Amino acid sequence: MKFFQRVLEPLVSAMGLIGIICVTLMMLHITFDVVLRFVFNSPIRGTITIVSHYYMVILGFCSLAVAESRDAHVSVEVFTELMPRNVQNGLAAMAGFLAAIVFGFVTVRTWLEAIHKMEIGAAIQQGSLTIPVWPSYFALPVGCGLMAVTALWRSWAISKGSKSTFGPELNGEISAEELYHG
Amino acid sequence: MDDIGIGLGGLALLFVLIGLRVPIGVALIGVSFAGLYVLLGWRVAWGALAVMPYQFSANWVLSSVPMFLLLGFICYHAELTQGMFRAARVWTSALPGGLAIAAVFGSAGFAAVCGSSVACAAAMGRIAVPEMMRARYNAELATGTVAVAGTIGALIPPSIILILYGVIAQVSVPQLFLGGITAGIISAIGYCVVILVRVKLNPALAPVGVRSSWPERIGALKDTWPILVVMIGIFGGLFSGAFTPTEAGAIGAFLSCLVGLARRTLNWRRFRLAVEETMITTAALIVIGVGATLLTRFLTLSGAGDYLSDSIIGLSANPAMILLGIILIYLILGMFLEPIGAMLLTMPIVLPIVQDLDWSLLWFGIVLTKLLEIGMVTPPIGMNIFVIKGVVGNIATTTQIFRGVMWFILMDLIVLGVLAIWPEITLFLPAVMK
Repeated sequence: MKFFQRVLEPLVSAMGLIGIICVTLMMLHITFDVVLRFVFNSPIRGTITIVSHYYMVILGFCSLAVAESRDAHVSVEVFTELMPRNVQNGLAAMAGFLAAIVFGFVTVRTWLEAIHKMEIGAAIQQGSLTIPVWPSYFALPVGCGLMAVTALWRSWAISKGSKSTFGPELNGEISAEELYHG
Repeated sequence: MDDIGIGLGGLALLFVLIGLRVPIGVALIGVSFAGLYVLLGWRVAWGALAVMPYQFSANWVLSSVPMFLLLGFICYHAELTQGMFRAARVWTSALPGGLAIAAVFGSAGFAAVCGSSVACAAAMGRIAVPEMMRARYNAELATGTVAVAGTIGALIPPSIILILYGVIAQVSVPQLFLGGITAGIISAIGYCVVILVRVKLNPALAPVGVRSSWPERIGALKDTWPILVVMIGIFGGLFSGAFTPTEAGAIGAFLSCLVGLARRTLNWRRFRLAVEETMITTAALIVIGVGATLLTRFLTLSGAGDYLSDSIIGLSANPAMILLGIILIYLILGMFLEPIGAMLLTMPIVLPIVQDLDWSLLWFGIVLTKLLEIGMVTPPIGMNIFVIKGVVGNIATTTQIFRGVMWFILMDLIVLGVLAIWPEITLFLPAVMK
């Protein structure tokens, strides 16, 4: 199982890196589009499609496993906190297992969909420009698959009572999970 | 079991799972998928799972969420916000409870670049609480003020809650933002009134500070430029119609990076931290969003959504009573659920009611946000309280912070009532700027 974690961690970090690149590119791409539009009256063609169909989709789904590895998915603890420690752990392990099953289904389904989109060569028409979007469909099975595996690993780690999260410590900074609410 | 029964059963199961600490997104997707299968068979359920995740996330308006999140996180980590509180502090030094009032204004200023109330509370808590403690302010007043002032973050634009509401209810996000400004400002004024009244009644809560001179006041304004540059960049473009929300967010984030670099407060480590928090938060939101769209489909196809909306409307012939009922339900939900989950979970049922009764979707979005934000500071689960507790350490216990907030909640209920009774107040700015 240690081996499992050694394989999983670099994969999740890689996803994190892809996410970081996506967010940064998204900001720069949109900013340059607006600047070029106002200053030179020549926007970058296809920006809307590329932002919503590539950056947004890849960023959203590739970060799933990263969020899971830090236990940052939103859940409600108020009722389970009142229960004994071992019951809490049992429930948390079950929740991880359930997440793995649900995302397992989503992985298979979105994989089939991605193959289908590839076969028909799905594309979006923006103005006179045709932008192929089928490659971005593959971000879903990849992201969801890793999410399912991470959830499964966490469920196992919790049931063993060992550390069930990884990733850099935030050194006393407020965690993202806390920061986003509201 | 008939279709409506299946729908209601699914909803009940959903709440049980969420109560058992299953992540909200997982519970939503799992229950909706299983429900569609039981209801209409494999083909429909399997089909919905193929389309919904991509359709929800590949959305231009929704892509403003990561951009505004990034803007807020960068401003937070690059400390662009501190000047705001210092300037406010100098200007309010003559007032009773001046530091607490400065914290409210500081929060309102930070809210203009930050879309989340927890981030707002955390930022102001870190700066303002130590100052207030040094000035021998009462700990309950000090911590309660920053906890509640944080909620202005979700009202004054940008606001993640309002963007998500706009995407799902199909209301223009810039219009919602304009509505949020009024509600945010009224809330801020309300909090200042509470502080003034409390300190007048009991001056021991907040010893009088040193009055600042005029040169000091003018000088302090110089430190507010980072936020002002970013603010003008975003809102000038957004409200003149030159930018879409996504563009405003991206440009704001870019500007805040430049300002951070110019002031040498942004380095690679902090940038990376801000970006990582952006992506993790976005992922957590997308899972819930995808689940909520699946739930909407399940509730619609089972008829349970209509059944519940109709039953609620049927309870009373008086729309005011129905509104009161909705408000009460959200106040209770807000005690236990975090706001975005609570909103996305209930919208498939509540939006049809709003439409049936011919209420303005824009106005309702603002009232809903105010309601959800009250939930951020009410016990037993008040995210802002926990964050402030994390920031201030041993200065106050969680219970003390909750006690400090109670006074402000009374004011919140009054503000809520004003917004609910007179929709014109909320709708004024959006109508003028249309």
